Amino acid sequence: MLRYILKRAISLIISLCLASIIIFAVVEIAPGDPASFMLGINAQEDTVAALRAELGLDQDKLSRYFTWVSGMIQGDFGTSYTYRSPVAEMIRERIWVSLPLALYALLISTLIAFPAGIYAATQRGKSGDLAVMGATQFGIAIPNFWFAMILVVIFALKLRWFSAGGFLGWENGIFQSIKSLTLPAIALALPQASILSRVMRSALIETLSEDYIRTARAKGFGKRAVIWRHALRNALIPVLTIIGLQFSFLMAGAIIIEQVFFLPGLGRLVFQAITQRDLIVVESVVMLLVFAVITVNFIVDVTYAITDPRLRRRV
Amino acid sequence: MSILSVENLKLKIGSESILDNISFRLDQGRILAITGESGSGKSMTALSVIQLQPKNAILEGEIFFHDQEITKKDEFELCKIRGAKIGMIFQEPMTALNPVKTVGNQISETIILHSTKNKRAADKETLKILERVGLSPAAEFKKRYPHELSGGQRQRVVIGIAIALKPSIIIADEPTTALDVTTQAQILALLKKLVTEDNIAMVLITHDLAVVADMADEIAVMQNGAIVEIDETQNLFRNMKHQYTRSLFAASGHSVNLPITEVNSNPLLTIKNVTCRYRLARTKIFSKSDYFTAVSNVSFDIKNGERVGLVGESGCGKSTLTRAILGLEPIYNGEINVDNQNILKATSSTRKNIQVVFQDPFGSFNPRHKVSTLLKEPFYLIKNSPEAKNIENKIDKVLEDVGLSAKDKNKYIHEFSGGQRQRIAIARALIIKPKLVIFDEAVSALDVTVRAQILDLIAELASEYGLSYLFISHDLSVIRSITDRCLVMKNGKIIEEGSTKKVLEQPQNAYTQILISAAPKLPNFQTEL
Repeated sequence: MLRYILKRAISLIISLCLASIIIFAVVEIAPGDPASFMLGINAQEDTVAALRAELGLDQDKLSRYFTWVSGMIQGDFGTSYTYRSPVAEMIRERIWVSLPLALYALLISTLIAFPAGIYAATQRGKSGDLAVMGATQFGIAIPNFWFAMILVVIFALKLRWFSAGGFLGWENGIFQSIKSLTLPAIALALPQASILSRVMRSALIETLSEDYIRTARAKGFGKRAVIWRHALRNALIPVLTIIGLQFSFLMAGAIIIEQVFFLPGLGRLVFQAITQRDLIVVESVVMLLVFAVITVNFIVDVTYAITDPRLRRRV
Repeated sequence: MSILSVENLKLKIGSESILDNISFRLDQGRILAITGESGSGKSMTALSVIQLQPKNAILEGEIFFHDQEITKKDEFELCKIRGAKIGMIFQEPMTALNPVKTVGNQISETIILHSTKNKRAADKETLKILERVGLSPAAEFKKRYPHELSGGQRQRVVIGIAIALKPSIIIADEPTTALDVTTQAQILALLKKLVTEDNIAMVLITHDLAVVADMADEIAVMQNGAIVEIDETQNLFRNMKHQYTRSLFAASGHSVNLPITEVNSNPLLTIKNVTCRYRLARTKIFSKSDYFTAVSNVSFDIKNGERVGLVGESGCGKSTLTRAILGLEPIYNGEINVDNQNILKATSSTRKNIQVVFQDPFGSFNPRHKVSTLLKEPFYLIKNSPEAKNIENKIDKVLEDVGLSAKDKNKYIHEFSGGQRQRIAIARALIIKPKLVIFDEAVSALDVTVRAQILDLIAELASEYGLSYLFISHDLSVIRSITDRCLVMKNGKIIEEGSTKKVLEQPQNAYTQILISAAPKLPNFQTEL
């Protein structure tokens, strides 16, 4: 088990190194000068030169790469060109919105998907199954920004349970913060929950047809006990995979929802940075997201091994 | 009062009748064998007894366990009977255990479920059970996961689960079919011992008449969902009143009429000091790699016209050797030549001389291709492949040769039975007139009567097409009936070699002797009389 984790950790580090090289190469080595790109076509030549010096573009590429990487390891992501403030600080502020939002959405999605998927699997082919599957079809089909707007209309404007948008920050009360993240989290969770419950259902149905389920039934376990004791853990591998993918998506892919609810998240930061050609911010946020994705995959790999003893010995 | 009595059991799925008027009784301490071919309803009978038949099945008739009518019980009451009063053993030990739980856990949960014992007491009991089924040191085995055990050991665990609560009946559904002969002998002996010790009644379901004869007090022969004959073992074998029983018996002991062939001194296949090995997963990250030698320094050859058998148990290296001969496996050391050409460098025109028929008639065809497309495929090996018209003629001919009709070429593979599929596999191997065919457990998945037909077909076609073949099997009776010469393999080595008759009748090697004595034999009550 320890060896498995160690191996996964090594591949995690290698992936991170490769990702950083690729991101660096795309931004810095790709044709065109980042400084003149950031300043636009009408820029004066001396302004460009000044920016080049400020960004350190006059140094050679290798040392620039190492400066960038070692800076990131120490928490220094450089200074945003447009905002004139340290990128690290900007990210820190945003991540306190994006990360809780992603986790919150994932929690809601899982809490819906597990019971729904398990229920549908046990009712396979019956009306309960059809109802759940129909609902998930609906959940996947509805665009989440539209669903978000409906939520705002009902729960914020009509019922006034929640605010229509904005985020005041955690320092202004945890309950208040969770409350303002609730509608966006629900909007994000709906399609995820739909997908996840379908995966849960099909994984469980497949597991329930296995021989060891028949053995368990022959031991005298009832249908429910068999699901809890024998089927669920075996059905978990595909579900974990999807949860991992969804988390990665939720971290970065919440741009539209962040716009609808006016949340200062990472998605909006990247979006603004791209339109303002602030390459330093783009580069840092992309690296951070890659880091998140790879780390989540690492965690998923470890949970695989916890779930299924057969994977612990695999190379 | 019998422990179990089944009366006029009928089972339908949709409009299809699966079981028809099944009746039998089972008394304490007795073994009733239910035998018959696949699809005859043996397993469905077993599942009906514990009321685990498919949901959409409609059941009629009565099943009494002691004086309780099982079919009238609700799920809650049935759960108290299953596992506690009636234990089940299934065929596939590989899949019958939950892969994510330790074997100790899987035994103890049964005990906890049905008794008032707490976890600790159940664990103690589990250790005793593991010892009883021959898994010792039990404390060690208790912690293992199913994938860390061999097939025989897993089946012991399944048996342990079945006997854990000292049930009055055990239903064993093909308990040894997936196992090697020596393991089979051990498992059967274990079952018999446990049943006698605990005075348990057992329903033993198996397709293998030889196993039945050794084990059972009474035998029921099933065909198409009905019991055609049921009698005490000795009487049944002596009288064999029903035609089907006779044909089943004849097919089990079927001996093929092997035509005499001329053996040419030219070697068709030469295998010289071949070693194949696999790299094992490292035990430490930076340690040197270890290797597992699957085939170790094997040498033999097959001459033109020879029919050679290769026997061995699972894991002995048969499959690796087969793949090496087909050029599908890297050879670590040594050389394999077909027609004096190294197989790894052979051109397609040499490779066409060697074809293969695999074990699984269900998995070895692309389900989306028509039979004609499947049969056409080997022609890609030939440089100047014949014209389309000519190929069609060849397809028609080969289909008729293997006992199918030319019309079958427009069908898809799922439209055929297992035996027919194996005929198509043989047709595919023969269509480009190879010199050597490798039959890799080619009849192991087939029912006895179908097996007998396919063996006859192979013998007949071999002489018609002037074939040599290498027949790989774990089944000595098959090897005996279809080969002239045979090789016995163990742990990657050929340990005995000679004419089939001599090897099987006067085995020199101790392992061959064990193998032969472990194989269950058909009784010969008729000559005893």
